[in-house]
Amino acid sequence: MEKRGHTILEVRNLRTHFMLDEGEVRSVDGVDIDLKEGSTLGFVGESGSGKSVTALSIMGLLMGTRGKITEGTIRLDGKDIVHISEEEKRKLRGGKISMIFQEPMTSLNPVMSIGKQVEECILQHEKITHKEAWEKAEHMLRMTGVPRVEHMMHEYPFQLSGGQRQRVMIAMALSCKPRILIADEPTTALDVTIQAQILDLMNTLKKETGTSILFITHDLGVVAEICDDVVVLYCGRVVEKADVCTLFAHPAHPYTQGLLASVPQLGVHVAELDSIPGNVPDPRHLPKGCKFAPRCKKAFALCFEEEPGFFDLEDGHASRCWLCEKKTSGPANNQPHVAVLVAQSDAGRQGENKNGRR
Amino acid sequence: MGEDNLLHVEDLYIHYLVSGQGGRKEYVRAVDGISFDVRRGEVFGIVGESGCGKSTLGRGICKLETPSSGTIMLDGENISNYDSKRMRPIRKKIQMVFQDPYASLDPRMSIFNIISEPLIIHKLASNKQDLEEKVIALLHKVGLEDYHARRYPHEFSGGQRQRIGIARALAVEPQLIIADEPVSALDVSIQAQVLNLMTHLQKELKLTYVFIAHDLSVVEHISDRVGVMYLGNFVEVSDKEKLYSHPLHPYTQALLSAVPIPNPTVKRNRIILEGSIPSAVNPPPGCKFHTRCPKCMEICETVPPRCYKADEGHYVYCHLYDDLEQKALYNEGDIRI
Repeated sequence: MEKRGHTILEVRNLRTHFMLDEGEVRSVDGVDIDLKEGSTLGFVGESGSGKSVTALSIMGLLMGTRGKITEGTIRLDGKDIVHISEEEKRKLRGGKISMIFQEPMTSLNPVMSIGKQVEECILQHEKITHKEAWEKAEHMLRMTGVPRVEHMMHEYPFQLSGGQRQRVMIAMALSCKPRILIADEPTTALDVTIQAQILDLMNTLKKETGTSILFITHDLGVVAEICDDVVVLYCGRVVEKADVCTLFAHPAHPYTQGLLASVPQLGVHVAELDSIPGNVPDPRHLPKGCKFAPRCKKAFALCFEEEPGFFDLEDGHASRCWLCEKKTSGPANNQPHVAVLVAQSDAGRQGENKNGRR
Repeated sequence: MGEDNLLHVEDLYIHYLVSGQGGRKEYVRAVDGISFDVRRGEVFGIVGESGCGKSTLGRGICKLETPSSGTIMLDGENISNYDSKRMRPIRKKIQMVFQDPYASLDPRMSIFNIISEPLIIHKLASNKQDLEEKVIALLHKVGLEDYHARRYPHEFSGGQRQRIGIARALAVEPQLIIADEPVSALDVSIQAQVLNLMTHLQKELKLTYVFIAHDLSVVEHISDRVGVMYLGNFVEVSDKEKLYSHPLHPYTQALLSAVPIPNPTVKRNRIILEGSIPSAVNPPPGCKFHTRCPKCMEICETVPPRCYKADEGHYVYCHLYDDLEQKALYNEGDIRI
């Protein structure tokens, strides 16, 4: 993994909590990310897993919400970007880091022409004239492959199709050659043929501009298609990380295994899909111990008592599951007393589970 | 029509009137001449991209949209010209499950009231106790508990709401269920639960489904036969196995190649279609797909393709198969797709 260049975005132990009247909601509760230069990192999770809040935390877009980064560091090129002024954050956004959102209609300004919107973004970050910015905007739009660029520059978002709007978003996001592009479900609202176009475009642009991409999605097919590494989230925690081939070939966490098994695959016929029972728990009343334990087919007593650490399995592959403890040389945050305790009190059940795992 | 056909749709057109520029009348040709049969006990899948008319077709079959012309035969009865009053007894046979589980349940009605409403309307319960028993039985059938009956929709997750929607549809013991994107609003793990439930109910209650979705993998999983729609027409209709292993229409081929496969080691030759789906107000002449078709020929621009029988149970509308002309079924009035 190291050969793919250095870590450009490093997030350590990020915790973003929301103070609501009903109580504290820990949307992101201990997330680590290593985004390597020029690579695409998939950020996978179901709704409520904290993937979008992580993205907003990185972008510094939590103001105006009741959310706050309570702990952790976010470093861009080794430089902290949490404790900097609003002004500096503004310079980063759209400059070094930019973001594209799921619903392009709601993220474009409906009363501003396409050309003006792309131009505005360029003028924010570069000291060039209007004319130059306009030409650059036109160039960016052409690069993303929208038809009739000259006309479209004067058109408004409602006149564009979903795929075209998403291309405008991409043009805008890439116009200042960002180091990092955060794409939050960029193809979820699009049809498959259009999705194929956009994924293709993102891959091409990544190669041309060397931008690193943090790709947030719930679609495992899309992950397999464009990501190099994957992080799986559940209830605001990273439950598994691995490179894409390892994750799909040897998923270690029962949640990842369940997710992979519950997707119907083209050309694979099964009478019944393997589903994960139950629902994602209410973030205000998270279960004790492992957050996935109540839905986990392999859970045993310890899972309901103690939250597992993040155990390293092999090169770059780690999983937050007690079942992975045995395989590991040493857990990331070792709690030996627990392991010993379990070995004594729960030896029988653990053995059962180990057998059941194969 | 054959004995085993529960639903027979022939030459169905559903056009919406929209006011065009300068007060001219313009029509959105949402469903533009569709014919197909659905056999008793099968799952007929309809796939297509947004705007292809698949939802309008589903709503049209239930008579929630008024057809402009064409025939809809349900269980041997021609319902195409029935008004809402005459449709009422028919709705005991045909029910619908909707896409958005947040919008399709009345937030001010308890789950008990939601599920009992169709039973009361169709006078299917003899007394209060019978009604209660029936509602509880329906809740159990879809995997919910007794105490859920007293609750309100906002207390449920998306997957549970969809179960309630299914229970409501099952209340009148219908023969045919039109499911319009029933799982597309749900998370992956919940989607599998609901799909399994629907398959299970279909087997247990010998239901017939028309399953509308944009997700090709989901449709493949649940369907016996599949129709692929593009701009208001079918382009290919076939048994599931043949359609997915030997897609004949260039659009089907492109659609299948565009589906991301959750396996990073598989590298495929992807057919990337140019542009997006044209407006249904002014659909292209000839074959409607010709503007995006990678195999477009001269004839495609002017002449609409006929329906060709490529194989037993495999039909395609495409000029590439003009050499199958002798088997063209379009004008024979005997079309059985």
